[in-house]
Amino acid sequence: MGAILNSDQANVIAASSSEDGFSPPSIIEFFPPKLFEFGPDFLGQPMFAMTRINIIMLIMTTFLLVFFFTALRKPQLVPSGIQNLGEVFLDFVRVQISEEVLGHHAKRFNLLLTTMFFMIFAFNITGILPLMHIAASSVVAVPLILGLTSYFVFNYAGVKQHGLKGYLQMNLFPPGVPLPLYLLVTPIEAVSTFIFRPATLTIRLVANMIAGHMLLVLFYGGANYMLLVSDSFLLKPLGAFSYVAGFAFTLFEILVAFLQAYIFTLLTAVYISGAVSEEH
Amino acid sequence: MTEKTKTKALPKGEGLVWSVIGTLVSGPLVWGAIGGFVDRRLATEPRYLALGLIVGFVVSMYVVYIRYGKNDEVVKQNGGNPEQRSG
Repeated sequence: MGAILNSDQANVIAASSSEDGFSPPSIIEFFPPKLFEFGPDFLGQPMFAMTRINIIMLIMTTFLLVFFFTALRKPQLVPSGIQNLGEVFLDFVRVQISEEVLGHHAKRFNLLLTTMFFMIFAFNITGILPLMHIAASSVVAVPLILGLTSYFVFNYAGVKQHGLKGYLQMNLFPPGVPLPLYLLVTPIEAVSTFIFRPATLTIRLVANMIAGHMLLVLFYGGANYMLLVSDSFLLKPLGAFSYVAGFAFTLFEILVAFLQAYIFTLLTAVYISGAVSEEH
Repeated sequence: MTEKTKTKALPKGEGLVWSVIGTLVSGPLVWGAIGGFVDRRLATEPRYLALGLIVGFVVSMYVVYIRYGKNDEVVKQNGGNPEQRSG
């Protein structure tokens, strides 16, 4: 997305919010200054730029590649060590999501769902990893692209299975409704199926990641200010409490990272399943 | 989890919850927006907006009933009707 601020802008905003020594978390943290730019000129400035969030994405993508490559490079009949771990992870998505939801269609979509799950999980978990400390998926472009991928896949699968007419009929005209009521029902079904699905997928993920980051910054920033910066003796116990709360929310964020990856993949599978199902 | 031959047409568990929420939200949204638009055109705020919200909500509950409530399969997949459970 084109919302990369230059470092001057970022500094001005950061300075204005920290007059009394405590800087509360702000949305600006999700638009870090660009580190370097490259490529041919486009509208007066280089076409591509990298921020630290982009670099985190590259690191996590590389990590996933290396992990699954080493895990599954020379598969043994009786798995051991890292292969064991890799197979447990892959089996989790295949059994708990693909086969559970899609039944005999699972094979066609398992690859997509597995990729989606591990990409989202790896991008989410960077929110609590030392030195990174921001979820790569808290930039809206990432969930948006994933949401649109899900949208195109389930619509394509549905149209392929039922033909355009059959697919639209299945989604927009639920059976068993008196004819005049379709006037009221069909717009609702159209919006909830074709507009809400990618939008809710995107917003659910990005909002969870932004909120999680905000909470952590607030508690640790508060602990730092109250314990180390502030002179007031009364604030010290509160600072300790804030630190403990920050730790608790760090653990909670691990759960959220997993849960959001799971729910995103599960809902994609559910949408595909609804699109390719024979009955209805 | 052995009978994997039949395709499940309807979402269950978590997926069902989100589908229902999506329908419930989009009803008032669609008909509320249409009502608001009519209000602006006719300068009758907020009559049609209110009507749209109510109609949208009622119709979306009706859609939920048609899609998920009437269907025995959904109830069965989610553990049966608690009101009819014996013991």
